[in-house]
Amino acid sequence: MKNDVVLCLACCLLLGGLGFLSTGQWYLGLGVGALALFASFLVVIPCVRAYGEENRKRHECYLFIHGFLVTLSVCVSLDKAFESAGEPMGKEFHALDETLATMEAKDKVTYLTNYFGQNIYAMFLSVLDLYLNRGGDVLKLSSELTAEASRVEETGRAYQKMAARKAAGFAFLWIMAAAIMGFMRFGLSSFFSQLTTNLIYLAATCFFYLFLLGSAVVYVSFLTKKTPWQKKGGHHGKAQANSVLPRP
Amino acid sequence: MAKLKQTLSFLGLSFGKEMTRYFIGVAVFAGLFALVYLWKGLGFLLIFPALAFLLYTYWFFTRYGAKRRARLDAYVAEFVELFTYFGVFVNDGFTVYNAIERIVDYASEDMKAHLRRLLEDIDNDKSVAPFVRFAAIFEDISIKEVMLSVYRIIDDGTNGLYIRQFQRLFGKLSDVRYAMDKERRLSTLDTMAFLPLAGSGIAMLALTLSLVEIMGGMLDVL
Repeated sequence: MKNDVVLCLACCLLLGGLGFLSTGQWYLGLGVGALALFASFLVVIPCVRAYGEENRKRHECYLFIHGFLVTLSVCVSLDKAFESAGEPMGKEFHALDETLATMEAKDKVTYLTNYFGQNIYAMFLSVLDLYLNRGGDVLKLSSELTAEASRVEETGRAYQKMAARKAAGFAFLWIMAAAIMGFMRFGLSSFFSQLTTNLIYLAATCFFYLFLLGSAVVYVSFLTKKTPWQKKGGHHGKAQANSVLPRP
Repeated sequence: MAKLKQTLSFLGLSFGKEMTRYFIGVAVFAGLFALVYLWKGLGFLLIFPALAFLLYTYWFFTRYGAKRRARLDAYVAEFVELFTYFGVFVNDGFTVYNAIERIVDYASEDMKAHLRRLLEDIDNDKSVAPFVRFAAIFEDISIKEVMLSVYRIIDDGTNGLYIRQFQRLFGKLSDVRYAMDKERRLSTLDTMAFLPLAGSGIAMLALTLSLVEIMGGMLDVL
């Protein structure tokens, strides 16, 4: 089982347990746990995975473009440039590369548009097209492209780091809020039996857990800028549309 | 009202249709208010439909501003993307006119129309005016500077000082755009930090209300 699934299952169990602890009603604990499971598997895990994959592809795309252009400027061979640029890539890339073994380097580069799904890759194809049709110094020709690719990568990385820090802060604040619910069970043990039969308390506690799950879902979708119903690589449609090599 | 009309026309929406939509919402809330009044009479419960109505009005009228901002941001993002291509073409020795012609292929339908108008204007008017007119569709002042540097490349040819000036200005614009995009996303996350605090508030409120009720019950017994 993957780490994110294990972590989510653990959180769901904890929330369900806390739901039971704070209300003393097993069905409410079960309900909170089940809702947390739904939220995790329908929204949180798909969004986080899509976000992770997008970041990985963005980074790979940046490495590929730089590696390819530098090697091309030295060797003037598309095959060698492709080979060299592919070296630092991940398993998925190498698996794809094996299936493309019979293709020429130029076709492989074009084919990778769908793999990377980044707008900057479409720009790279245009530069490559210009270079193949008109010649010249590929490094000079691609100076704007490499500068833009660096900007995309730097911004993405900085956002990732800051967002992770903010998410940790958000989670910590929720843990503190949940600790208040735990405190009611142990800190007010003499009142607890009366609390568990109090309708206002039960309704407000249910609302608390619903609010917690809702805010977690909203936070994750804002942080990742993803929705579970979004198509894979949806906002890179233009990159794919512009990916035909050679250009008209 | 004039500003709202201007925003609606920028978004391609009809003022009349949008107002009709708003008043349908108002009628729904008025009905809700009347139902609560008939059910419970004049009481504190009427606060809920009134609050919901205020939230609805706030949401209804602020979303146009948000939509307008999103569209302007998308324009700037597209400008940066397209003029990166432009930089590539100019670096490769294309003239400004040909480079703009080439980037039309990569533009969205909306931007294509603006670029084609720019090309037509350049055909008819060799001054800086077409570039200024094109820059006017963006609110960002640095885009005007970039477009002026594009115009200067025409005078200077493709090997001179103004290409470097264009690259410098464009690099700055692109840096600022990415930084602003990052900041905007992070500030949204900052704004949401109030959610756990609101959660704590709910927990405290739950505790206070139920304890007060339990204690009230105990006092009644005594």
